[in-house]
Amino acid sequence: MNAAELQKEFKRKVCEEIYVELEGLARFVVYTPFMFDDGDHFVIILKRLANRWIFTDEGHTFMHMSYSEIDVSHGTRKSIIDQTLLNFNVVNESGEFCLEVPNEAFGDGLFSFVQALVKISDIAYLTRERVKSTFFEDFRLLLESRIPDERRVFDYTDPDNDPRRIYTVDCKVKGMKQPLFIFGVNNDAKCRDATITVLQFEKWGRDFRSLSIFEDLTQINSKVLARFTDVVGKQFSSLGAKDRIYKYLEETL
Amino acid sequence: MTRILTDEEIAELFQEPKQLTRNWETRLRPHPKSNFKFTQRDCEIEGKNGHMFRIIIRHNMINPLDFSIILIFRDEDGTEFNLCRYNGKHPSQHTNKLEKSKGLPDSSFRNAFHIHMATQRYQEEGLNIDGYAEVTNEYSSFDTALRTFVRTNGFSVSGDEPSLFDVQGDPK
Repeated sequence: MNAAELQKEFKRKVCEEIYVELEGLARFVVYTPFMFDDGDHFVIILKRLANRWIFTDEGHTFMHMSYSEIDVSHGTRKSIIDQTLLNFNVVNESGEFCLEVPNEAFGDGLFSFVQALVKISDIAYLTRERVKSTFFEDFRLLLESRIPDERRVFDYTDPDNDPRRIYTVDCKVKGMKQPLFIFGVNNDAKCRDATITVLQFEKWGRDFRSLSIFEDLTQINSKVLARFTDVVGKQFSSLGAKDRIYKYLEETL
Repeated sequence: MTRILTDEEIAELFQEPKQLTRNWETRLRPHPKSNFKFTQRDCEIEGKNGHMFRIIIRHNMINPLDFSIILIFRDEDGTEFNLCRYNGKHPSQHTNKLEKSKGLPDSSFRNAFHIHMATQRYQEEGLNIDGYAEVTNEYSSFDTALRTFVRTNGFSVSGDEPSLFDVQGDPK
């Protein structure tokens, strides 16, 4: 087979994997080879709305992901989904993914839409542990980007009062009158630990300010959060409030 | 690592009597989920042999033919295994990956009501336990699928109303 034949054969084989079928009024089912783990392929519909064409999944992607009870509404998974949608110009209309196709550029639109669906469905592989580590990784990166090396200590414990290193502060910022203790909080247990740590440092008579950054504050049990709110200084509801966190750190440093 | 359910175990789990309450249709009626385009319902049932099962129901609000009714077995350590999934006619394709990899004919089908089934062979190949599916003519809507699901997977209703499962076609 020469190069020209190979190109022709390649194109034929790839094209035959994509198939469009009219189903309904100005509504086409687009069959592609892209699928979920269980062998069900992505739902892709090309629809004409007034004077525009859109690709839509008719809400199927989130429905399929919900079989495995993957929480796509909060935390790292939500952030990844939001970013993916943004990258591929896909809009989330109350659980339905839509991509407008300008100038009948169906090919470009389809590739973008498929890429978005692939990335979103891959979120199923993010286990709880992975999600957790992503938050702390992001938390650390954010602090490293704004606080000079010599002024921060990660996983700080009090050497005099706590030789067994039981009460840990995720990040201590020094070099000012009152040090700043920063806690990353991703669940109820961590919120309780941070509450106890703040109270313990107060008990030892340490003078400090405190700041907490949540993975998602709305996911914390209200009573646990209330107790923490009583003892901690400043709080940010998630890493999404980056600009405000930067501003706060600049003012504090 | 998750253990593999043998075909014998799977068959026994299907056959294990599972009792639904008299108002099972109400209890399994899915409700809308805010910010999503589907309704959902989950329900837990203990089998006669002490095994725990769950029924998960999802129904698309845009396309009424797109739904999923899933029977799940929860092992003692909490691991969950999908035993079967009664799917609607989602507008896309299904591919039985194992059959396709072996070059077998008819490994894919398009836009058809289909039932996913747990198989030992898919697990042994590292594929999804319910990755194998077959086209079905047993139902043609969500309501008839739910009735077929209940009729064929070891369920009975407290108070014993066998006629409940004899209804054919849509109840509407």
